[in-house]
Order: sequence, then structure tokens, then C-alpha cells
Amino acid sequence: MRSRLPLIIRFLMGGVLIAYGVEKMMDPVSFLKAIHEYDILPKNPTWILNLAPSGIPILEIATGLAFFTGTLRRGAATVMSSFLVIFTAAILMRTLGIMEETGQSFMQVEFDCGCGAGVVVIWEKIMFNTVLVLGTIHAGFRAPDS
Amino acid sequence: MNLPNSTLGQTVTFTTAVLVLAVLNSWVNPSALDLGKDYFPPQHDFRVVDGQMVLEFLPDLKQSNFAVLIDARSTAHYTEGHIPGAYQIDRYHLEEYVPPALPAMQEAGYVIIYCAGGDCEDSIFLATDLVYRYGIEKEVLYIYEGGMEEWEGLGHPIATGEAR
Repeated sequence: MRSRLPLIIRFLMGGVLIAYGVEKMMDPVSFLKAIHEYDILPKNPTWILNLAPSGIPILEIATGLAFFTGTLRRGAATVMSSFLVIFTAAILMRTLGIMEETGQSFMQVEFDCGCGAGVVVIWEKIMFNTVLVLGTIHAGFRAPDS
Repeated sequence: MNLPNSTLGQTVTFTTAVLVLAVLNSWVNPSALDLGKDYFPPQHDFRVVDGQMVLEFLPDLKQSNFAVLIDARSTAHYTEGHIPGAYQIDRYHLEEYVPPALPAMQEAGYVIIYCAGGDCEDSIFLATDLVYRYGIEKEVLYIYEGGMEEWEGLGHPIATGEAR
């Protein structure tokens, strides 16, 4: 009998992404502040920064739905995994900045990364995001259709 | 409708759909942010007050518009607990919150603004908006930098409930 595990991973990834998206969409102000802290998006024109709190939750929810339904699954996985890699790199850059500023070690750094879970231990978040990237690629390209 | 089968085609289609939905969400969703607004304008050097001064102003808040106190936090935080007599102006939804407090601010000699305290900068951003968008004179604006965090820590009176 064929293993059901790849399909379970696909649906699990879908559920996780939808939950993250809904959580961010409920509080766009907090998410905007978190994104602003990274200082990676230009402030002018304003719509670029202001569109992120609307666009990123929709990206997550749409990717989750694509994983559930199978529609545009590979396209969704490509966009989502690319976004996660860029976002994780931004977290890493900010972590290095905080380490330089405060003298903390990598394992000690904590901040609200805008991920929807408040203040988090950053090395754990980076590990989790790595798992999310691998899970997204698996759900998009390796998991069976049904 | 035929959806693309290639990964590149799916990626382009998916990205386009997400962007369209994001813009629609900004327009339709009432709690979404205004795309054209600068929520992080350059900061100004407003004068500051401490908790003791705010405490001394409390009787004036109830009797006249000599001093006006503004809470720049969200409705949820304001409802949970705020400095007694404070108006609430959620700085991310100015059009909705400024008009009820505007006449009082225009008459007042002291407009004291606070937010959560700590790293919170909403009070400063709101003060900047009040100067440039609503014509409030910078000289009457004061920031209570300690904010709600310090106020609670000092054991000063706290009111709960909806905006005044």
C-alpha cells in the first residue's frame, strides 16, 4: 500500500499556512510595525510597505488552499518557498544587527519577527522556517495529487 | 478555464492572483491599511511630560478643555485600561477617531499624547499627523513617553471601557 505520509504533509502544510495567514490578517497594524522594523521595504511610495500586510497573509492563505485543492500547487510552492527564504534571510540579517548592537550571542536573540507568534527565540524560528521551506517544496512538487 | 501546467506558468498565474487579491483586500476590507498613507513619517522633537505631570492634569481633564489627554493605542487596548478622561485616537484610522476629539484639541493649551510606553512610537507619529494633517499647533503637543506601561507601574488610576 502506498504511504499516505506525503499527502498528510501536504494537507498539514496547507493548514499551517492558512492559520498563519488568518492570524496576520486579523491584526494588520502589528504586522505592518513588524515589517517596518526590518527596514527592507522602501517607505516611498507608501503602497509598497502598506501592501505587505495585505499581500503576505493572502499569499499564505492562497498557498494553503492550493495545497488543499491541488490547483496551481507547484506555482504556489515556488512563490511561497521563495518568500520564506527571503523572509528568513531578513530575520537573520536583523538578528546579526541585534547581536552587534547588544553583544548577545546568536542563541540568546529574541524579538517579534512578525510571524504571528509575538516575541520568539530566533534560532528556533530559523530552524522552523527551514522546515517550512522544505515542507512547502515537498507539498508543491513531491506530494501526490490525492 | 485552462490553468497552466508548467511551473513557470503556474508561478506567474499564482503571483498575479495573489497581487490582485491583496489590492482588493486593501480596498474592500475595512480593517485593512490605507495604501496611500505614510504610517511612519519623520519624527519631531515634541516636548515631553512625565507621569506626575499627567496626574496633576487629571482634574482639569474632567472640568475643561484646558488640557486634553489622547490615547494613541488600539480600541482593544484602550477598552482594557486607559488613563481616566483620555480620548482615544487609533492613529491607523485617523478619519474615524480624530473628529470627536478635534474641537477639544483645538481649544486646549495642552494636548498630551501617550501610547503603550517602552518602544511604542505611536504617540509621536500621531502628534506628527495632528500637526500636518489637522493643523494642531506643535507648541501645545506633549508626549507622555512612559505611556500606559509606566502609568500602571506607578499605580495611578485606570479607567476601563469604551471611548468617551
